[in-house]
Amino acid sequence: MIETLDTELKDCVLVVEDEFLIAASLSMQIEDLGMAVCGTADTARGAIDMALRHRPRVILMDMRLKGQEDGVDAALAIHKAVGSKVIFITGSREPATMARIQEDHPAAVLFKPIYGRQLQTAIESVLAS
Amino acid sequence: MTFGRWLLSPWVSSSADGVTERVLTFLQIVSDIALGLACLSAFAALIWLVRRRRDLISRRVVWLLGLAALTSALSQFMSATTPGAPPSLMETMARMAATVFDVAAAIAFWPIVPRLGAILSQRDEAMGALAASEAEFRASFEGSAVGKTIANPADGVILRANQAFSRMLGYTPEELAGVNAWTLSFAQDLEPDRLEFRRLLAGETDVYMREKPYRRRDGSPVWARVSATLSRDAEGAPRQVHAVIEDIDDRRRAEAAAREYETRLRFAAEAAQIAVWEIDYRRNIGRLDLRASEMTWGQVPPEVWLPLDGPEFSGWVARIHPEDRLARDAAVQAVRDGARDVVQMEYRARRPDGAWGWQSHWRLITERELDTGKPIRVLGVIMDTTQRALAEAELRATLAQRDLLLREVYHRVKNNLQIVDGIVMMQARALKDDQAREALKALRSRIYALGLVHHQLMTSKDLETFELEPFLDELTRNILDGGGAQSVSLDLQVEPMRAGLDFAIPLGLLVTELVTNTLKHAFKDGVGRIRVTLKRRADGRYDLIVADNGVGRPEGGVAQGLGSVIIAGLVAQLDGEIATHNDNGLVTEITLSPPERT
Repeated sequence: MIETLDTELKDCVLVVEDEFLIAASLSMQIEDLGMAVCGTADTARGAIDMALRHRPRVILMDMRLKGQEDGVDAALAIHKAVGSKVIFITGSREPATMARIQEDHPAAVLFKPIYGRQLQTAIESVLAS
Repeated sequence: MTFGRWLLSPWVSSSADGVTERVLTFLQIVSDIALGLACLSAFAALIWLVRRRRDLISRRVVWLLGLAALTSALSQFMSATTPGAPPSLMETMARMAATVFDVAAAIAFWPIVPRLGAILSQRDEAMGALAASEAEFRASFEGSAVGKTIANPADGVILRANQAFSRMLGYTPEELAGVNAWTLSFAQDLEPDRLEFRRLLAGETDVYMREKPYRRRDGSPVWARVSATLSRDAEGAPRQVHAVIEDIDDRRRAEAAAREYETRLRFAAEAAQIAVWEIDYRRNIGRLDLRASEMTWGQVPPEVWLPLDGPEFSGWVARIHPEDRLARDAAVQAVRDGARDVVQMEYRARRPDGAWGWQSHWRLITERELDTGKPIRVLGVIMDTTQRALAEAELRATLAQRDLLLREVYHRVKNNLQIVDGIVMMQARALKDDQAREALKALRSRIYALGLVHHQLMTSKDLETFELEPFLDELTRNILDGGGAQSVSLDLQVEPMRAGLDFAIPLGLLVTELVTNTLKHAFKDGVGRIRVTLKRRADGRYDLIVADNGVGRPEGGVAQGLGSVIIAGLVAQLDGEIATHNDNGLVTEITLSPPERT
């Protein structure tokens, strides 16, 4: 079943980020890496919808999102329904945030500010695993 | 005629010439009158004695002797009026009466002879005793350790002063004799002194007693307690003032010091709102002062000794917060066992309104049993620390809130920098000109340095400083990654040290510029090594050294552009100096003064 799921995933990246400019710059960086961006979302609900629709192989997930739910809520749901690899992006290194992220067994964690090279390394290592 | 017969024969008849007879008669008259006068004088003397000495041991004998003398005088005068003639009836009767009185007196005298003897020896004894008493008095007066004086009550002049009193005032006893005692007192004491002394003179009091300062020879005061009594003569008139003057200067000083000390303690306790209570372990009882009682909210009444295991104290212990009770009991036990002289404990106690009140309790052993060392008396001090505890909690909350706000601020700054970076990146993509893209790339690395500083601050414990080593490591690696310099190795040597925003930002920007420059110019084939060193000097300044093994500084070439302006400006900002030289590549040495932290 999992095998089937994996094969169904598309080689694109979903960017979940509530700051438009950050989302836009991340998308550009991904495109510069030669990958496709299948969409952006700024809420947990929107992220789940997009993931269900596009079935991306990788998701860049910001911790803080618009609305009540955070990135971990969205990631848990997507992980179950789609099985995408989730790279968390957070501005905080506080233990509480880190513990919250670990609830979803993330593929990688990136800390803001993210420089092009870090993003490339993280995505490449996630795709290779 | 023998001489003996001549002596015994009547003189007149043997020599019957008229001249001799007249002479003899005249002599007889004279002797009779003289004898009569003598008897009269004896009578007068006896009458005077009887009148004068009412305590005569036998007035009867004296009266008899007196009467005998009087009647003898009478008979002598009568005999003088009739010289040569045989005595008249009157004269004979007077002579008989005198004889009777004389005999009666002689008879009456015998029984009083032993009494007279006893009186005489008593008098001797009394005289001896008096002498001994006088010696004793002298010894007690002169040898006494307390001051003594004898003075005239009429004018207050000192008749005698002993050694102790003289020494107390710095005189000799001889110097004090004749001195008016009032002159040894200070002016402000004279009025009350005299008032009290008048009461003594008037007999309203038996003892004059005052505590007052005396004036020493050098004028300085010496405190003494004087008690004086008055001796009076037989008529009850004041004779002498006997004063005992005790030097209480040391005691007064000690008392004054003790009083001052207690005043200070009371004031301190009052000002600090400290409650005091005490324990007597011999009887296992305790007593609280008013404030201490108030601190128990009336659970334990004030100023009464109550058993420690009684309902009042047990009721108090029951109010103590269960979480604090263990530590409290241990502290109490430590003092009870005598293991510790003083303990301090802080605990919560249930107030009548149900809330918890904070109290700080001290216990101090003030007396121990001499042989066993067990504590007997313990002093307790209580302070209500509720306000402090609340203030501390509030302060902690405020600090936590401040931390939260600071983190939020750092987070926002960082986030905004990320947005700026995003815009710059998007702008760079839109540009076709390589030089312009390069400039924006340099701009992004500077923005990154700023963001990284805020990121470090956000995660630091004190929110003000952070370790420089991980910061510089992350910073330089990012520049290397961003520059695509996979074949350039980094050697970072940073001593453990912390810095705040004001130093880390210029430092981070300097390192960014220098490392970026190196990547741009040093390595022709993209392979090389960069060494970044930061160490603290003995004078408190910092040495930042960036060295590479590249081509070195071009001959005569001076760095141009924004980077060099930033470097020069930041070095100046940190009161630093910069020097470069070639040593198997370019070596840039910068000495910096970290901004003074306030």
